[in-house]
Amino acid sequence: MFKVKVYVTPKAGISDPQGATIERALPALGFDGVQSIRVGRLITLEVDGADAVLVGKDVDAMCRQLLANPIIEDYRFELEPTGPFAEAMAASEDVVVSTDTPLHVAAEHAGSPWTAADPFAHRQEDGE
Amino acid sequence: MTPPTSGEERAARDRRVRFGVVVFPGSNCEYDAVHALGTFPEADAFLLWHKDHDLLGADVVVLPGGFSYGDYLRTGAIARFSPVMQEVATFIESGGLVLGICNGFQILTEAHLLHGAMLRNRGLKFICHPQYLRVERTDTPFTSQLQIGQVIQVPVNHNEGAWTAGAESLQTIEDERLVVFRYCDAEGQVTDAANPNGAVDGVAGIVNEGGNVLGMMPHPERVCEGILGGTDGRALFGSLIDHVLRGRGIHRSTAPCSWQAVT
Repeated sequence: MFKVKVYVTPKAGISDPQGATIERALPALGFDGVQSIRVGRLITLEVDGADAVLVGKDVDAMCRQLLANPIIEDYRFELEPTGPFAEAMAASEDVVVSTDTPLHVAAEHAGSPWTAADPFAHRQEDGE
Repeated sequence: MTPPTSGEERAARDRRVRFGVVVFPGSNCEYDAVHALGTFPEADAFLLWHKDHDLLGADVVVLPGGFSYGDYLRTGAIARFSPVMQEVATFIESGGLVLGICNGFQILTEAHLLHGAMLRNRGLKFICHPQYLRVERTDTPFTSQLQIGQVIQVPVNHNEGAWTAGAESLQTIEDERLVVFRYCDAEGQVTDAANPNGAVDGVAGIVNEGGNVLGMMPHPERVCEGILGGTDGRALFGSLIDHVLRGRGIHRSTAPCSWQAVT
């Protein structure tokens, strides 16, 4: 079982009227020097499975087919193991390959949660 | 109106042009469409439930306005997966005529049956007002009763109508002349000030490459009777009726006023 966080954000160059409105509102509250505000959404889900690569593949397909619209939105996602694997993972802070099953887990650190070894990492930023 | 039990039965019973108006959970303009079509003696309009796998012999499928599935996630994103949409996609492949109005346009873009995608209106306001449109194409089954450059007035009523598309799609749209309507002012000038929602290039309505699918944000079904404030929408439905009848070898007057006003 994995807890999944999917981040959907407006593509670069796509107008974001919500972000623009917030950007205009903040100076009125005294917060100056704020720029490049983009508003997206965070979708959380739990997915059954023990293999992070397979689960990741499924989540990627969910993103492409429904959760994001690749024409206007980028997406990226993070997997966090829960259940039986969670304890083993808890000690790790970065990518882990478990010893018993080929369990590749992307750590939630800054930047892309996926490692270069991930076969669909290229899709996360450009949507394709 | 008694619903038919099968397309064959309906076809045998009625030689009028058959408009199937799809009802999704949250659609709210389906009766407007059926009512407007009811003012055309040559048209027979009926509702199609989104779970149906039968278009009941429709000549034209209308995806009406509304808030299908509450507009959850993105407008049209969930409706795209309704069972009937499989039939609609097959219908389109075989050359069937589909008109998506407002939410229907949003569904068609989400289903990738039309280019582009919808963003929230520039200014974040729900807009609801009469809007001038310039006719860009008359060589489609939807617009044969109109003139190039003609200005018609059709109301808009939406929150996510800022149509946009990727660079590749924009090039295709340009090359294939897929834009049918643009937002304009009373003189037909496509200006930023006349653009109510921030749609790219003032796009209000586009067709697919095959020319048999039209999506438009404005509501032509709301301007089919003078008592309701306008009749400019009649040319669109009239064109569709002409097209279907011509396909059956029936040529009728194409005058936009070949109808009886219903008040």
